[in-house]
Amino acid sequence: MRIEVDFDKCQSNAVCQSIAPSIFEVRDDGYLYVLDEEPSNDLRDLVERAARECPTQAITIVD
Amino acid sequence: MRRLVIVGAGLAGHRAALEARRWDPNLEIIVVGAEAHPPYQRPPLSKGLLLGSVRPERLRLRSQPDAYEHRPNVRAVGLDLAERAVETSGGPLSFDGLIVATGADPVLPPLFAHPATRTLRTVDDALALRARITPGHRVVAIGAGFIGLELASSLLALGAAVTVVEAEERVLPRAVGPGAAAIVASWHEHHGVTLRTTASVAAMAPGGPVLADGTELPADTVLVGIGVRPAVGWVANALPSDPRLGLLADEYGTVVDGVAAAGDAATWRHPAWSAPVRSEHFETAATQGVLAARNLLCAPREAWRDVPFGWSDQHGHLIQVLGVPGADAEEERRNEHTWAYYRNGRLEGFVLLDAAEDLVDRRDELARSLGLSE
Repeated sequence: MRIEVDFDKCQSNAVCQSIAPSIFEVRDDGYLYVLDEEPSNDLRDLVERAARECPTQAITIVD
Repeated sequence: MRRLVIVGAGLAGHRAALEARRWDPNLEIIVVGAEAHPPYQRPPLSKGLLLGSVRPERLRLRSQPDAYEHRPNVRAVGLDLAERAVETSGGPLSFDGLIVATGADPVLPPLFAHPATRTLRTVDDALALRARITPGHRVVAIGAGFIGLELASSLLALGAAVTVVEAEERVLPRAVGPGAAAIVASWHEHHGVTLRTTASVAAMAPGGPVLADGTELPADTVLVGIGVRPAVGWVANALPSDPRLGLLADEYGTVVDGVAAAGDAATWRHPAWSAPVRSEHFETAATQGVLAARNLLCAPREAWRDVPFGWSDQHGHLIQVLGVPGADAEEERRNEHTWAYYRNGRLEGFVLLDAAEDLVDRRDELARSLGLSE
C-alpha cells in the first residue's frame, strides 16, 4: 500500500490526522506531511478511512 | 509543439502546466497571470485566511513550482488566432498551443457602488478585508450563495455583526434545494447571523444598503457575492463564448484547434448531460486543467466524465455537493444528512451535510445513475 496526497487539493483540514495520526501530520507551516508513505497493511483500514473522509478528496491509496 | 502558453495562473492553469510538463520534458511552458503572486489556492480566502488559521504563505500551490515559467503581473488583452499570438500587457506572446484559464470576476452592478463595498476573489481582496474587521464591525453581505455564507461565517467568528441579504426566498437558492437550504440557514441563525431572504437592495444610502421595503441596513462593509462572470472579455471576439458560460469547450476542453480552456473561464460539455455543465468548483478547475493540457498534447483524447464535486465550510459544518443538484431538480430527503436530486426521474445530484464518510458511496451511486461508472 502506497499513499499519494495531491498537495494542490489538500487544504490541511487535518481530518486525516485525526483519523490516522501516525501517518498524517499537519505541521506549523500549515502543510500536511505524510509520515509514512508505505505503511504496513495493519493500518490499511485507518488509511482508507482517512482517504474516504478527506473533505477535499486529496488522498489516494495505490495498491 | 514547442511552446504552450497558458493564460491564467490559478489552479486550472497551474495544473495544466504540470500535466503538460509530465508529457513533454522539452516543451516551453509559459504561464501568465494578472496577479503578482505565484499560483495559490483560493478556497481558504473566505475561510482559513480570514480566520487567521491559514497563513498567506500556505496558500501557495505546493507541487513542482519549477516545472514551468510563471510570468506575474501580465494581463492578456487580446488574441490573434491567425498569427497564433496572445496580446498581453507585456507585448505579444506567440504560441503553438494555448490554454485559457483566466477564471472569473465577481459581478458588481453599479447599484452597489459605495465606499464600503467590497468583493472577494483574490488574496489581496481577502487580506484587505481582514484588515477592516474589528469586533462589532457591521457587515452586510449581499447574496446568500456559497461565498456570501462562507464570509458570513468567517466574519462572524472574527466578531463582526453580519447580515446576509438574499433576493430569493432562501439561502443557496441555485446550488441546493429548499430542504438542504433550511438546514444551512439554521446553522447561520443559530450562530447569530441575521438572514434577510426575499429582500433586495433598492439603493445605497450613505450609511449602507436600503432594501426595497425601505429598511436601512447600516454597514461598515458591504460585501457583494452575487455570482461571477467568466473573465474572457479579452478573447470573446476571437473564440466561441457566452457572457455567463465563458469559452464554450467540448468534453475534451477544446475550444478551437490548438486552443483549450479550463476552470471558471470555460464551460465544458459533459457526457452525462445534454446541456453544457457550468461547475465553478475547485475540483472541476483542477481536473479540467489536467485534461485540457493532456488533450492538447496527446491522443487519444480523454473526456471530462467526473461527477462534479465541491464543498463548503460554514460555522464548522461541512457541505459537500455532488453532481448537479439545484433549484430546478426534485429534492428528496434520504436521511438527516443526505438530500438527493432528480430530473425526469434520473438521480443527478446529492447534497451531503456533515457526512464526509458517505461521500465515496454517494459518488459511486451517482456515477452509476449517470452512466459514468467504468
